[in-house]
Amino acid sequence: MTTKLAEHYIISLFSRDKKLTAKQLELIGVGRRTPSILYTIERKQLFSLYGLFPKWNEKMWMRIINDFTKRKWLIVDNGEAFLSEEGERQKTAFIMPDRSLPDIKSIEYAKTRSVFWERFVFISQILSEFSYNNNQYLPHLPSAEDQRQTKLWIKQQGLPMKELTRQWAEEIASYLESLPVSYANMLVDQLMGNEENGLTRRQLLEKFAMTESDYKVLMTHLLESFRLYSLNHDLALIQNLWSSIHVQESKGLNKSAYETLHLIEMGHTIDEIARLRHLKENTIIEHLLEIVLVTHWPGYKAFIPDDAYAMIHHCFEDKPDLTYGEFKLDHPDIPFFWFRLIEIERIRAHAY
Amino acid sequence: MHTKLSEQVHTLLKEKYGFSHFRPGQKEAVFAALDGLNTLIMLPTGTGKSLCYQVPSYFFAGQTLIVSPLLSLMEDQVEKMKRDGEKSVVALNSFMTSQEKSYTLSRLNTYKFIFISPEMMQQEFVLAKLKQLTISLFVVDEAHCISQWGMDFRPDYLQLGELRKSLNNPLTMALTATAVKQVREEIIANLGIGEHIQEIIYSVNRPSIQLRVQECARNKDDLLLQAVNEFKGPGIIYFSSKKTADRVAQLLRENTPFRAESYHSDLEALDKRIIQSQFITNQIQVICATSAFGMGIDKPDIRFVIHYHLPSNPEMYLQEIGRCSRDKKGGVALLLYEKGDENLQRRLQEGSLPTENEIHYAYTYPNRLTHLKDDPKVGMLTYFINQKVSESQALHIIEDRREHKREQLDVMVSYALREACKRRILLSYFDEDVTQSTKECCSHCNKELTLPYIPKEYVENVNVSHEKDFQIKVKNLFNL
Repeated sequence: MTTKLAEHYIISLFSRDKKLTAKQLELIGVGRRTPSILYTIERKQLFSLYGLFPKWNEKMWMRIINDFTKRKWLIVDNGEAFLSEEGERQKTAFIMPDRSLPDIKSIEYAKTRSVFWERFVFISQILSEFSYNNNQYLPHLPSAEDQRQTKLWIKQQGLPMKELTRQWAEEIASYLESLPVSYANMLVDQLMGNEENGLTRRQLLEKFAMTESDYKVLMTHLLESFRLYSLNHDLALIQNLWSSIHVQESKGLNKSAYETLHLIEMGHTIDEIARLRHLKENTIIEHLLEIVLVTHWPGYKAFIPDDAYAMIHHCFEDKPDLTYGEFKLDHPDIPFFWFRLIEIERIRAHAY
Repeated sequence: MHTKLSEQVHTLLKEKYGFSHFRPGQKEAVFAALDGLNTLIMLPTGTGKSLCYQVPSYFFAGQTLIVSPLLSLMEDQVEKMKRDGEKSVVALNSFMTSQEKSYTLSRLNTYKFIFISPEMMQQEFVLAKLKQLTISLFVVDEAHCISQWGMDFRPDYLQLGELRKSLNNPLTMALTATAVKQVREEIIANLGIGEHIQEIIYSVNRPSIQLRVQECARNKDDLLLQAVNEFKGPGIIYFSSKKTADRVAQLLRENTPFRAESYHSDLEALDKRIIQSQFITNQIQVICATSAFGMGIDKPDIRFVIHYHLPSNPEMYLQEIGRCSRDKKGGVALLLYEKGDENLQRRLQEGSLPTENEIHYAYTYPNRLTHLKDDPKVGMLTYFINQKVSESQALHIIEDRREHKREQLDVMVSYALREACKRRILLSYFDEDVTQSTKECCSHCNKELTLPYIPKEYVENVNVSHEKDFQIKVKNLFNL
């Protein structure tokens, strides 16, 4: 299929001016969810890495950085690694042949992806068995809750099972046809159903000559491409499955931040929410930052007074790399989170 | 027994399970329960013990509560019952989220069959819910776990007698595949079912399985490859180490035409399920497993079971080899033994029981044990402390158990080394004797054994990938 995918992917995380430490890579890779890590992800555009390697610690990343440095792909300066000219060439070589894999531009769906895939495989199994009139099979998701949620989703589609199966198969086929053949085969080999057992991870890696890390990188990008394809090509069932699981998964937020988002959308202020939820105002502010960083929620401007909004922007125009420490000297009354929200806004305006 | 009830039972057997007659032992078990007798049932592996409690349950108005020690086995049983059309079945165990647990508990009275782990049953609010039900039949699966002399002693199981009492002493059925007399007596005493009891005990002997022992001299892998090439499969190879299971599976993939996979606790749940399905549908011919594999696997045509490492006791050995030849068409149980193999088991056994220092520490600082509760040694000591067993008594009990384990392992070493009929050695441990001797009995009785079945020929499966495999597969998946 594609050799050394993970290796090339990792090199693509770096750039000539984007410096990264092993610790940062570890925290992002394991999916640490603090406002500062989420901000680092935004600033360094490392969305696809979020939660991708939950078992890799700092030592592991150090080993990778050292290895890449030996190959002259990276240069390390004061613990921070960045791309060399050779590294830049490697990175371009990787990006070119794999254009079929989309860029991941947010961490919003990071939590949803794995649940979507499990549920997608399970629904495929149910519909496959149905299409052969077989109701005596072992469901691949044994948890009662998964089974209940899946039954509910099927019911909510309001389609006769035969029609649902036909449409489901059509939507899958449509997406697979859009992929390079090897990727399509790899996805289908994981499906199970009537007289189809699917392949284990080991079997899959062997068949497609991949490592576990290659698989993770590939699946993350393929699932993102599946989501985007379902939106762009009106795959109603797949789109619906994504959105229903996304809501179940708190739209990528932690449960508490999701609750705060509900209250914000009901029109409550930060101090009201803190009182209602018996939490500190600072916690609600952290939730607000998480909401903005994870979901691209546009309502944040309402939390910054108009004059402060204009003034902070003005300061950034004078000094684009302004830090909050510098800013605070002249404007001690402006809270940090207003400054941070505008920093995020500026990063996004420049990135896209 | 009224003829009419007997007819109804047979009709149910036919309509619900598709069988026209019971297997040995099942009928006695079913009718004893219908007669209101407590039962202790010992039937060999693969003879359909679950049917013994399922059939009578349909004739009782209340619920059947099944205590089962292994979570994965419980899940398998529940899924199998659902697959066979019984939807009124649920498993209460630690796999559940708290949300699932409270949802299930709130509607517990709507289920006919409730599987529960012994730990869960001891939780006060769960027990309170169970007390509100009408339990018509209380089933203890793998009942040998009750006995400290059994192969899988579980302290939690010792509470079952008390729990049964608190449920108003419901009609009880204790099931096991392998239990010596002492263990059976302890099961009955602990559950308090000595009165009105019928014991249904069948021989542990499986005449259709040929017993072979092969001594190795640093050539175990070669002998294993030779054996697998001869036996062909489907088959299981048991290991005491996950690493060796992985290594040998790879060795088989590289050196035989057979598809082999390893199976142990490190695998993801989904991969375990896939491997089971692939094995059942003959997509895989050989499984290299730890003891995690086998229970709940319903495959009648397994032709061989090989033990790469010496098993720790005869009970476990019989259970594991009992997975082959369930269709009675012949199977081979091969033990590959190399001098000193017992040392690995000894080390594992030593590690499974608390040392004198650990016992003393636990009794001195009982509160410090709570955060270690997943360790079986801690579970055992916590049980003793809670039951107010003194430190010296606990030491004595554990020392006895250690000694017993040594004796069990000695039986296995003797099975491997002694120049005597292998079947007779195993059966004598269960106070049984060989009643019918055959020429193909074991590697002692016949030095030139032939296979007791006709081996299937396998063509090496060349992994040809078609350009557009996915299109064909989607069509097949959804019957298009």
